[in-house]
Amino acid sequence: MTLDDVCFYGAAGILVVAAALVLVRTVIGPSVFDRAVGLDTLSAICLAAIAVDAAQHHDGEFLPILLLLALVGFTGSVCLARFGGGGEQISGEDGCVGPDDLDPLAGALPEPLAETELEKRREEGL
Amino acid sequence: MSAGKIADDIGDVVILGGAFWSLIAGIGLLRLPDVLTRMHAATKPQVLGLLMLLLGVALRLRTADDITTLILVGLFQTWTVPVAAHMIARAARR
Repeated sequence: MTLDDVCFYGAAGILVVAAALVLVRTVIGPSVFDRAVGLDTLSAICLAAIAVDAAQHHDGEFLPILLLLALVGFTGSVCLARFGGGGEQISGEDGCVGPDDLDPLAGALPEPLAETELEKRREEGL
Repeated sequence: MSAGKIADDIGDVVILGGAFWSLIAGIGLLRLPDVLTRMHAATKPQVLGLLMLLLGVALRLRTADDITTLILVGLFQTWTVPVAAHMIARAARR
Protein backbone atom coordinates (compact mmCIF):
# COMPACT_ATOMS: atom_id res chain seq x y z
CA MET A 1 0.00 0.00 0.00
CA THR A 2 1.46 3.30 -1.02
CA LEU A 3 1.23 6.61 0.81
CA ASP A 4 -1.36 7.66 -1.76
CA ASP A 5 -3.66 4.78 -0.87
CA VAL A 6 -3.28 5.26 2.89
CA CYS A 7 -4.01 8.98 2.69
CA PHE A 8 -6.91 8.83 0.26
CA TYR A 9 -8.75 5.88 1.76
CA GLY A 10 -8.01 7.31 5.21
CA ALA A 11 -9.33 10.74 4.24
CA ALA A 12 -12.42 9.25 2.59
CA GLY A 13 -13.17 7.13 5.67
CA ILE A 14 -12.67 10.06 8.02
CA LEU A 15 -15.00 12.20 5.90
CA VAL A 16 -17.66 9.46 5.94
CA VAL A 17 -17.48 9.27 9.75
CA ALA A 18 -17.65 13.07 10.02
CA ALA A 19 -20.65 13.19 7.68
CA ALA A 20 -22.39 10.49 9.74
CA LEU A 21 -21.85 12.46 12.98
CA VAL A 22 -23.14 15.66 11.38
CA LEU A 23 -26.12 13.77 9.97
CA VAL A 24 -26.99 12.50 13.44
CA ARG A 25 -26.95 16.07 14.75
CA THR A 26 -29.06 17.20 11.80
CA VAL A 27 -31.69 14.56 12.51
CA ILE A 28 -31.88 14.86 16.31
CA GLY A 29 -31.08 18.59 16.47
CA PRO A 30 -33.50 20.06 19.00
CA SER A 31 -33.98 23.38 17.22
CA VAL A 32 -34.21 24.32 13.57
CA PHE A 33 -30.94 26.24 13.88
CA ASP A 34 -29.08 23.08 14.87
CA ARG A 35 -30.37 21.51 11.71
CA ALA A 36 -29.36 24.52 9.63
CA VAL A 37 -25.84 24.41 11.06
CA GLY A 38 -25.72 20.66 10.44
CA LEU A 39 -26.80 20.99 6.81
CA ASP A 40 -24.22 23.74 6.29
CA THR A 41 -21.49 21.50 7.66
CA LEU A 42 -22.76 18.60 5.58
CA SER A 43 -22.44 20.66 2.39
CA ALA A 44 -18.90 21.62 3.41
CA ILE A 45 -18.08 17.93 3.90
CA CYS A 46 -19.47 17.19 0.43
CA LEU A 47 -17.11 19.90 -0.85
CA ALA A 48 -14.23 18.16 0.91
CA ALA A 49 -15.19 14.77 -0.55
CA ILE A 50 -15.27 16.14 -4.10
CA ALA A 51 -11.85 17.74 -3.50
CA VAL A 52 -10.44 14.39 -2.30
CA ASP A 53 -11.79 12.71 -5.41
CA ALA A 54 -10.22 15.34 -7.66
CA ALA A 55 -6.87 14.93 -5.91
CA GLN A 56 -6.94 11.15 -6.16
CA HIS A 57 -7.58 11.12 -9.90
CA HIS A 58 -5.23 14.04 -10.67
CA ASP A 59 -8.15 15.54 -12.53
CA GLY A 60 -9.62 19.01 -12.09
CA GLU A 61 -12.80 18.26 -14.00
CA PHE A 62 -15.12 18.56 -11.00
CA LEU A 63 -13.57 21.66 -9.44
CA PRO A 64 -16.26 24.05 -10.86
CA ILE A 65 -18.77 22.08 -8.77
CA LEU A 66 -16.74 23.05 -5.72
CA LEU A 67 -16.94 26.68 -6.78
CA LEU A 68 -20.72 26.49 -7.14
CA LEU A 69 -21.23 24.72 -3.79
CA ALA A 70 -18.98 27.19 -1.98
CA LEU A 71 -20.97 30.08 -3.47
CA VAL A 72 -24.55 28.94 -2.88
CA GLY A 73 -24.11 26.52 0.02
CA PHE A 74 -24.77 29.16 2.64
CA THR A 75 -28.06 30.46 1.22
CA GLY A 76 -30.08 27.67 2.83
CA SER A 77 -29.08 28.45 6.38
CA VAL A 78 -29.32 32.19 5.76
CA CYS A 79 -32.89 31.79 4.50
CA LEU A 80 -33.74 29.61 7.47
CA ALA A 81 -32.26 32.12 9.91
CA ARG A 82 -33.86 35.07 8.17
CA PHE A 83 -37.36 33.83 7.38
CA GLY A 84 -37.92 30.60 9.30
CA GLY A 85 -37.39 29.38 12.79
CA GLY A 86 -39.34 30.45 15.87
CA GLY A 87 -42.01 32.37 14.01
CA GLU A 88 -40.21 35.70 13.81
CA GLN A 89 -41.65 38.17 11.41
CA ILE A 90 -40.26 40.90 9.25
CA SER A 91 -40.42 44.36 10.75
CA GLY A 92 -41.72 47.02 8.40
CA GLU A 93 -39.23 49.72 9.32
CA ASP A 94 -35.73 48.48 8.56
CA GLY A 95 -36.31 45.00 7.15
CA CYS A 96 -34.78 43.39 10.23
CA VAL A 97 -36.20 40.32 11.91
CA GLY A 98 -38.20 41.51 14.88
CA PRO A 99 -39.61 39.77 17.93
CA ASP A 100 -43.03 38.18 17.78
CA ASP A 101 -45.04 40.72 19.75
CA LEU A 102 -44.20 43.72 17.55
CA ASP A 103 -46.71 44.88 14.98
CA PRO A 104 -44.66 44.86 11.78
CA LEU A 105 -46.16 48.11 10.52
CA ALA A 106 -46.43 50.00 13.81
CA GLY A 107 -44.97 53.44 13.50
CA ALA A 108 -44.50 53.21 9.77
CA LEU A 109 -47.31 55.67 8.97
CA PRO A 110 -48.59 58.55 11.14
CA GLU A 111 -52.13 58.30 12.46
CA PRO A 112 -54.66 60.16 10.26
CA LEU A 113 -55.60 63.57 11.65
CA ALA A 114 -58.97 64.08 13.29
CA GLU A 115 -61.61 66.04 11.33
CA THR A 116 -61.54 69.02 13.73
CA GLU A 117 -57.78 69.29 13.43
CA LEU A 118 -58.10 69.21 9.63
CA GLU A 119 -60.70 72.04 9.76
CA LYS A 120 -58.40 74.14 11.92
CA ARG A 121 -55.47 73.67 9.55
CA ARG A 122 -57.63 74.56 6.51
CA GLU A 123 -58.72 77.79 8.19
CA GLU A 124 -55.09 78.62 8.94
CA GLY A 125 -54.27 78.03 5.28
CA LEU A 126 -51.80 75.23 5.85
CA MET B 1 12.61 11.29 -6.09
CA SER B 2 11.37 14.04 -8.35
CA ALA B 3 9.96 17.36 -7.18
CA GLY B 4 6.53 16.34 -8.49
CA LYS B 5 6.51 13.18 -6.38
CA ILE B 6 7.53 15.14 -3.29
CA ALA B 7 4.70 17.65 -3.89
CA ASP B 8 2.28 14.74 -4.35
CA ASP B 9 3.32 13.19 -1.05
CA ILE B 10 3.10 16.48 0.86
CA GLY B 11 -0.34 16.98 -0.72
CA ASP B 12 -1.42 13.53 0.49
CA VAL B 13 -0.49 14.29 4.09
CA VAL B 14 -2.12 17.74 3.99
CA ILE B 15 -5.33 16.20 2.60
CA LEU B 16 -5.36 13.66 5.44
CA GLY B 17 -4.94 16.52 7.93
CA GLY B 18 -7.80 18.46 6.38
CA ALA B 19 -10.10 15.44 6.60
CA PHE B 20 -9.09 15.08 10.25
CA TRP B 21 -10.20 18.67 10.97
CA SER B 22 -13.54 17.90 9.32
CA LEU B 23 -13.88 14.94 11.70
CA ILE B 24 -13.19 17.26 14.64
CA ALA B 25 -15.96 19.56 13.37
CA GLY B 26 -18.34 16.60 13.21
CA ILE B 27 -17.49 15.45 16.74
CA GLY B 28 -17.88 18.99 18.07
CA LEU B 29 -21.22 19.40 16.31
CA LEU B 30 -22.49 16.22 17.95
CA ARG B 31 -21.15 16.73 21.46
CA LEU B 32 -21.31 20.46 22.23
CA PRO B 33 -24.28 21.57 24.33
CA ASP B 34 -26.12 24.41 22.52
CA VAL B 35 -26.55 26.18 19.19
CA LEU B 36 -23.87 28.82 19.66
CA THR B 37 -21.14 26.38 20.72
CA ARG B 38 -22.15 24.01 17.94
CA MET B 39 -21.83 26.88 15.52
CA HIS B 40 -18.28 27.38 16.76
CA ALA B 41 -17.52 23.75 15.90
CA ALA B 42 -19.29 23.98 12.56
CA THR B 43 -17.45 27.05 11.31
CA LYS B 44 -13.86 27.26 12.53
CA PRO B 45 -12.52 23.68 12.31
CA GLN B 46 -14.62 23.08 9.22
CA VAL B 47 -13.19 26.04 7.31
CA LEU B 48 -9.64 25.24 8.44
CA GLY B 49 -10.05 21.64 7.32
CA LEU B 50 -11.48 22.64 3.97
CA LEU B 51 -8.67 25.15 3.34
CA MET B 52 -6.07 22.50 4.20
CA LEU B 53 -7.79 20.06 1.84
CA LEU B 54 -7.82 22.63 -0.96
CA LEU B 55 -4.11 23.26 -0.34
CA GLY B 56 -3.46 19.53 -0.67
CA VAL B 57 -5.45 19.34 -3.90
CA ALA B 58 -3.51 22.33 -5.26
CA LEU B 59 -0.22 20.59 -4.37
CA ARG B 60 -1.31 17.52 -6.31
CA LEU B 61 -2.91 19.12 -9.39
CA ARG B 62 -0.34 21.92 -9.94
CA THR B 63 -1.91 23.51 -13.02
CA ALA B 64 -2.70 27.21 -13.19
CA ASP B 65 -6.43 26.99 -13.90
CA ASP B 66 -7.05 24.36 -11.21
CA ILE B 67 -5.15 26.40 -8.63
CA THR B 68 -7.12 29.52 -9.61
CA THR B 69 -10.39 27.64 -9.08
CA LEU B 70 -9.20 26.32 -5.73
CA ILE B 71 -8.19 29.80 -4.55
CA LEU B 72 -11.64 31.08 -5.54
CA VAL B 73 -13.31 28.21 -3.65
CA GLY B 74 -11.31 29.07 -0.53
CA LEU B 75 -12.14 32.78 -0.85
CA PHE B 76 -15.87 32.14 -1.31
CA GLN B 77 -15.89 29.77 1.63
CA THR B 78 -14.21 32.30 3.91
CA TRP B 79 -16.66 34.97 2.74
CA THR B 80 -19.89 33.03 3.02
CA VAL B 81 -19.38 31.01 6.22
CA PRO B 82 -19.22 34.11 8.48
CA VAL B 83 -22.37 35.50 6.86
CA ALA B 84 -24.32 32.30 7.54
CA ALA B 85 -22.91 32.03 11.06
CA HIS B 86 -23.81 35.65 11.82
CA MET B 87 -27.38 35.23 10.60
CA ILE B 88 -27.90 31.99 12.54
CA ALA B 89 -26.37 33.41 15.71
CA ARG B 90 -28.58 36.49 15.49
CA ALA B 91 -31.71 34.40 14.97
CA ALA B 92 -30.75 31.88 17.67
CA ARG B 93 -30.12 34.56 20.30
CA ARG B 94 -33.68 35.87 20.08
